[in-house]
Amino acid sequence: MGISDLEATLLATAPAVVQDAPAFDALSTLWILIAAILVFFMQAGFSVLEAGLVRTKNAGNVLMKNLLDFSSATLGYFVFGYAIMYGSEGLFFGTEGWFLAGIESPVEGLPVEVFWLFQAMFAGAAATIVAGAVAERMKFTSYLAYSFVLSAFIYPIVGHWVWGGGWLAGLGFHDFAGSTVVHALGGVTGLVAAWVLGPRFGKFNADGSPNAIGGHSLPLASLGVFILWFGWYGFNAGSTLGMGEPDVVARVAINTTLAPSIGAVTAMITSWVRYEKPDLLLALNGALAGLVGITAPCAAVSPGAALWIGAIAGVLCVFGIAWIDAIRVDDPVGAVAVHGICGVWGTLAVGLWGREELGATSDGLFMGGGFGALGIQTLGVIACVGFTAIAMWIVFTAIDSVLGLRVSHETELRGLDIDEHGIESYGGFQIFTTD
Amino acid sequence: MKMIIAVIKPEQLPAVKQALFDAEIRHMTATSVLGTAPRTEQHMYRGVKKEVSLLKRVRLEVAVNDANLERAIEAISRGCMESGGAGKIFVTELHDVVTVWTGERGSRALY
Repeated sequence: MGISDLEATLLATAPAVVQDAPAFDALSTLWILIAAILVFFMQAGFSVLEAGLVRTKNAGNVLMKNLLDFSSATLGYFVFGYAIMYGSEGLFFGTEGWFLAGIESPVEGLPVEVFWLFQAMFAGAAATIVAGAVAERMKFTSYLAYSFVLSAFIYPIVGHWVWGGGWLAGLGFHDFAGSTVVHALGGVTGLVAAWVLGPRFGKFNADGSPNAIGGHSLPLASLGVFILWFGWYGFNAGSTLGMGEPDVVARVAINTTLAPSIGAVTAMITSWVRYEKPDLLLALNGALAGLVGITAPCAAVSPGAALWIGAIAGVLCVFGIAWIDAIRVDDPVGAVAVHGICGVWGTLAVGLWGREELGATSDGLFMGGGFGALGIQTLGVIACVGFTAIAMWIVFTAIDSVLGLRVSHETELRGLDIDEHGIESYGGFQIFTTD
Repeated sequence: MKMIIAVIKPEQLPAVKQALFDAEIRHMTATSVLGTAPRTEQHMYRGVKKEVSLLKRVRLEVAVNDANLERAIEAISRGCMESGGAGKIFVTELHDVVTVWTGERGSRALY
């Protein structure tokens, strides 16, 4: 067969092939694939951030929890989670598409696989936030059980309400990339878990005043924050779910840069004024607070508003960390303040600075739209956080009575690495125990 | 023969080592240790005050013959004074010394 014959054959068959295939948007598909990979890399950020903020004797256990909560979240989200979140319309949860069978992507032009991939990364992010709050004392098996339940059932239910066509979406609740759905949900789950677990041995004195239990590697913690920030460009700018409106992607990206930048600055200044020195870990938490805060409003506010949102988030997180200590809850990495408190703040900020012309449901309070948007945002936050808190309290209490949530006192003193996994994170290194 | 054990701050080690070298005492062993001091240090960790009572110190061991003892003590003291003034020197008797390679024993095996 000559070349011209081959060409003729191809030309004859080509139109038929095109007609059979669904019309996918290659550029959007590529962007969401890249964004999903960026969000996946946030797992590395969470892992090293949390490992750096615990003592050497527990570093391996925290890394193990980070790997396995992502893995079990992905499995749980494949089997149950996606169907509950996006499977079918309904006020409270979806009921079709278990194992992704027989459904199509809700977004035109995207293959369901790539849409699932992007959403599964989000489910993994929500689950992994909790690892830091329960670090250095939660039993590994109980942690596995919790992370499967959260990502297979609890996260998808809240996600369905907001993103899957549920009742909050119907009311016009706006959470672009998940200040509430991912971060406040993870943060409040961390709060409930840390509260049920109780503080680490030695964290609080008899009079309730807190002691510092220092992390072992600030370089690891800093690397983790930079990796998270890097991945956040996928988290927020990928939540456009396509490249159909490049101006929105661009606005989200610039807001995702400005808010954490000013969050780091305001957290640093707050720590300098309150504690006399510019504190590295609080500045790092401030950057994360800015990122969490801008996650809900990133598409619907101007860069100027993003600066306000990030600046306030940075201050909130420093006071939030002190407040969590004051109510005698032990959160070794500050997850509750950063993800919980700033997640709520970011969601409410949509009701303050959101603009209808940029994609918000209606103009926010400071944009002359009155209290309507703020009211709906407040209702949405209360519903999502309240449901998560109650559901997770039941889950943790149930796990506690069946498996036990907390390791033994002896294991806690020796470290979870050696007793739970039989490993040393720093074998061959001389470890100096200073407290 | 005497064993001199000096407990100094890590930042004093370069000056103390140089002073010993200047006094032509070139053998010593340095170890990182933790020690308590009359005054504790105040650290701050994410906004929570931290009272640190076991502080980082260097334990310097120098074995000398009796004739060189005072020179060694003077050198260590001078090095400490040049670098902040803190430090503690302990001197104990040394029963025997062996250089494995040559088999030399006692004061012949020491500076």
